[in-house]
Amino acid sequence: MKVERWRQVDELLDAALEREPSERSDFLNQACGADEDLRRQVESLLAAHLKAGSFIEQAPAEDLTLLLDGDQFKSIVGETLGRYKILSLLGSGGMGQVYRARDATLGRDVAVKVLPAAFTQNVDRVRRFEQEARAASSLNHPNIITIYEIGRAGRAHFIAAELVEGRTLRQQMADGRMKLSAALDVAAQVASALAAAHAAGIAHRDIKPENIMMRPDGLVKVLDFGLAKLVERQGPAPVDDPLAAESGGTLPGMVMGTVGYMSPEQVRAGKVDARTDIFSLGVVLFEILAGHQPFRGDSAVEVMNAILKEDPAELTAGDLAPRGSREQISPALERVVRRCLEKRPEARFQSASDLAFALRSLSEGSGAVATSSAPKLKSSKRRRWLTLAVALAATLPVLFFVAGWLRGRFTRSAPSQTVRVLRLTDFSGLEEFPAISPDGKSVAFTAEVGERRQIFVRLLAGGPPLPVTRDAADHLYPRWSSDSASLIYYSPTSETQGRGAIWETSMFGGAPRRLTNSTGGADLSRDGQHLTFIRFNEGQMELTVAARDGSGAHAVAQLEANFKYYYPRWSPDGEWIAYMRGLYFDDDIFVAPAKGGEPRRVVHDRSMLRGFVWADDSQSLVYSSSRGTTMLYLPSFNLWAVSLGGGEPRQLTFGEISYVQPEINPNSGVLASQVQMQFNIWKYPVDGSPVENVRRAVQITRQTGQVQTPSIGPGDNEMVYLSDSGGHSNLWIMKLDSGETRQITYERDPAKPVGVPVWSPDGKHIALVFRSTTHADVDLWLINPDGSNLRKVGVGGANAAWSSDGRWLYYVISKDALVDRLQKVSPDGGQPVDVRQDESSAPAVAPDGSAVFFLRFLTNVNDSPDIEIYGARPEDGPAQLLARIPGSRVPAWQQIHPVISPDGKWLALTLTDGGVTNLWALPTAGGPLRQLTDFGQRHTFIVRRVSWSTDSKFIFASLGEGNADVVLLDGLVP
Amino acid sequence: MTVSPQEVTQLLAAWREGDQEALDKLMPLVYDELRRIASRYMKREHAGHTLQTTALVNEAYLRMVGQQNVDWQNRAHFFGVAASVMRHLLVDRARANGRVRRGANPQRVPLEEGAVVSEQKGEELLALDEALTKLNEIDDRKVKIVELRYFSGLSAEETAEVLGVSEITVKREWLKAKAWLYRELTIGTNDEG
Repeated sequence: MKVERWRQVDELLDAALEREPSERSDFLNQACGADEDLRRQVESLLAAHLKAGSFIEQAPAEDLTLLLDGDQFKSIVGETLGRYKILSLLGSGGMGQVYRARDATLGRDVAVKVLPAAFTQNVDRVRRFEQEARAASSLNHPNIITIYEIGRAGRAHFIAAELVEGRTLRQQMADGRMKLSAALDVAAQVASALAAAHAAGIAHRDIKPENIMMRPDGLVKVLDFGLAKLVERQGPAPVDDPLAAESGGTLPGMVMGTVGYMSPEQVRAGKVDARTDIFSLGVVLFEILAGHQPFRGDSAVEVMNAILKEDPAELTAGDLAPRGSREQISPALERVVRRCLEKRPEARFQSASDLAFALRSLSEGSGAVATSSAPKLKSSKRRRWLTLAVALAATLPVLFFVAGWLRGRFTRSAPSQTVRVLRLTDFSGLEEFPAISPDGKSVAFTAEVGERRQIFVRLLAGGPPLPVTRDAADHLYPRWSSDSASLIYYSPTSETQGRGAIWETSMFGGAPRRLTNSTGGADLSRDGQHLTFIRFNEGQMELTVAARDGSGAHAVAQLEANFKYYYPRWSPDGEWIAYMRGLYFDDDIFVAPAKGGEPRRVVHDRSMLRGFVWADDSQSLVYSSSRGTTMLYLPSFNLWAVSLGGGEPRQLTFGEISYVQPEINPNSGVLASQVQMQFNIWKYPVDGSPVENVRRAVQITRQTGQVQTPSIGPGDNEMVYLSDSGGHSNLWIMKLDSGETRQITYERDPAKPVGVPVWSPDGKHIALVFRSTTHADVDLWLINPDGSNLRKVGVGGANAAWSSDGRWLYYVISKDALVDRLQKVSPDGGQPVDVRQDESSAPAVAPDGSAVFFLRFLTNVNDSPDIEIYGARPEDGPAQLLARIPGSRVPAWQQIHPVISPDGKWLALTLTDGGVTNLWALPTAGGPLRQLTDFGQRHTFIVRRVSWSTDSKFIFASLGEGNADVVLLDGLVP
Repeated sequence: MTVSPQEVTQLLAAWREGDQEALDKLMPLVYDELRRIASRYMKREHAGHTLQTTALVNEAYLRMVGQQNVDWQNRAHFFGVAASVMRHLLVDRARANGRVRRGANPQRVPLEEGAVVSEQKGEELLALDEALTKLNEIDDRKVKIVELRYFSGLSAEETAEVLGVSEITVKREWLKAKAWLYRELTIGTNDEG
């Protein structure tokens, strides 16, 4: 019935819509007759039609990618705008998102504000904004944020500005911790910024606590000069009609949060000048002092009405106001504030410098002026330095070259301190994660027992290590309780490394007690009262703090999706929690306030990291980083120290022996797990049982340095491989019969690693990846086997594989593409050709060219991605799933790239189970994986790519065996 | 969770023939795929960084059904599924955001106006979703059109292709759907219709 009735309405609506609006009424009279309800229905719909306008014409989410990706905000983290690589989201608001970004050219971090698309669609508005922002960028004042660039990249308009480490005044006020003198000082600094801007003819128009940044040293920075013009309505509105402004609600940005700071002339949309900023600053100062705004109301309209017509509220210290400020709000201060808040511009302070002067006079004697002037001096020095840096930008390539050369020459020299290395553990295999007990007497560490890591404790004074855990789980990140009597640790579940729980066990044995679920380890505060850990909670990664027993858990920082988070550590003073964040081969360290707040990145080496520890003063960290190493696939790690106050990290250890997971013993020095790796290339038969294949293997290289990623040349006569002989990764060729070697690449710059050679089957070319410029991704290059004709063939390409006739070089391209995709290019030149449109990487080409095999990566929460292996026949045909590999089996630090046998039957790859890496083969025709080697309990690594012999009967692989012991670096001062 | 292109094709065909269960099975699969693409996309560097909805859905279609099985009817129905997925996703997110904002931790509420705007937007979205559910009881074709155009971002022409009707029909139905929804959301008539 209902449906039928609606059909009737719908049809009439159609008919009415076809008629001119003027004819519709008559038509309906006729058509509906006495059916009043029918007529009402159609008429109301016609009315709605006329009013609907742009209703639902715009997609609800501009960028669904972000929505699907689970980001609460639109995020462009990881993208590049102009020369800025976007690193993380700093904040978000009506005027766009602000990101921390890396300026690759100048090598510094900047703040990049990306304007919302809604503001950039109107060409005229964008032009006005650019003019205004350019004018603002000419302002040079210590209290005004420095604008570096106003640019656009694609459709995005952005502003790159000085990165201010600090908090907004809004955040500061939320804590209620400002003293009167500090409040006056902040207002005076803002006034002084305004005075400089006004002198240049620029009004801010949007002074509010969100636009005032406070650095820890007390220096105030005013943000967003001139930006407000972007959201301003054009043309006047009727005077005294606040509703006009409200109904202009389509003007984004002009909503609740901001109206309280508007001047009466802004509410009226009248003429705005410098004195508007003085009014707004008055509101801000009032709010700092009183804890609330001077003009209040339940809605934006009421607030605007109050701004136009009512006197400001009485200025008394509120609950949130500065401690003890009630008695300190002098009549003089109240007069200053009231004068800012006068309705008529001509009754206010006439210049911001007058206001600044008045505020400084009020605060004199409190010492506030003195403390604020010091950082200003420093800052102007820094400004000069930055200018110098900009001027030097043109000569930077030369400087980089010289610095690189110097580093290449001298980094291997020993530190000047005398450091003794004392071995504390001597098991075979890996002893890791040393933890010193608070009483300084014992060290806990993990060691391999079978396939699992168990926790042991030994006394520093001597005696054998004693086992603490015995259960079948893996045990990581031991941390001591404050009384040195028990340990907490992290156990991942066996299925995936990403999920698990935090346990506590007594040092003297007994059953462990489960404290909480976690995805990446935990730490106890030094006072023993609190626990911090990483957890995945309702779809969100969180840095969490709880009571010691795991109860009362609450998030202190929400962590961005898509990264792996682990290794939280509490600062000794209990104020901060640092943790690690990883993505592929890139790890960073962040520090978050333990009471909650935005985490800040303190280590960003673009390298792999292996643990860190707080220095005793809570002011710096010692961490383990692969920074500077050029053997990318199993790098060496050295210890570095970084101060939280800024500055470049300082290298503490040198050389090819790695030091990971540092721990500080206040009495003697730094402890770490010392890792030594030995690599050689071996030739493994594949026709026997896995154990037999290992027994019958032949050792090809006998070197003390690292040798990685062999690739066999035609006729099995020669082998090209990567070696760090000479101190930098370079390509070498060995004659297999004589063992004679020659070097074919000669790179020395530590910033330019060379990697993964792949010989073409026709023997003419060797493909390699090479980072030829600092900070860029690796590109695909070719070189002739005699070392001549080194040339770039693909931008941003990697994972090389040849067609068997040598006419095509296949590779994966990820730049500018939706997902990783396969392309191929002729080694003799010409344009790259797309092989597949869908996601595909790590290609292997069937010898007869009939098929291509490739990988896809799945997403895992806080863990390495699972991998799927596909085949496609022909190469652009439908993808057929051959195997799925759990991320936990992907060898540590490695990427899987299957290599096809010359007979086309097998794909060789490396997989890790319980710390042992073995060779495996997957039949290209489908079927289960076959294990080719069994190294038993040996702690093996196989580095990246392997290579088949021409007859498909042998595999050449670089096999590493490692040992790690806990050592004390006695005398090493961080 | 990965299914073969054949399975997806079969599910699409079954749904085309009126099997509602097929749609229930397809939706989570399509959702997962869209998420996977979006997530991977976010991890990569991209110069032009807005991924159009249609491009995203196309990508998912190619991955799930494959280039070899290109059949416009399948493609049309796939877009239909994706549109429903988008609607659910947006509405769920709006709901979740509402919860978060009204939640227990006021310090975490973003203070700038952007948040206010998006909360309003979220509430509008929830209201629109309710209205669509109501409209679906009397006129499911209009709802399909709104889903495809508003939630999936298709043009009138593409929508026509997906639904197998003329572009003029799509435009006319769109205007009427808009009017009905607008009336529902502003005036809130509670009599028939």
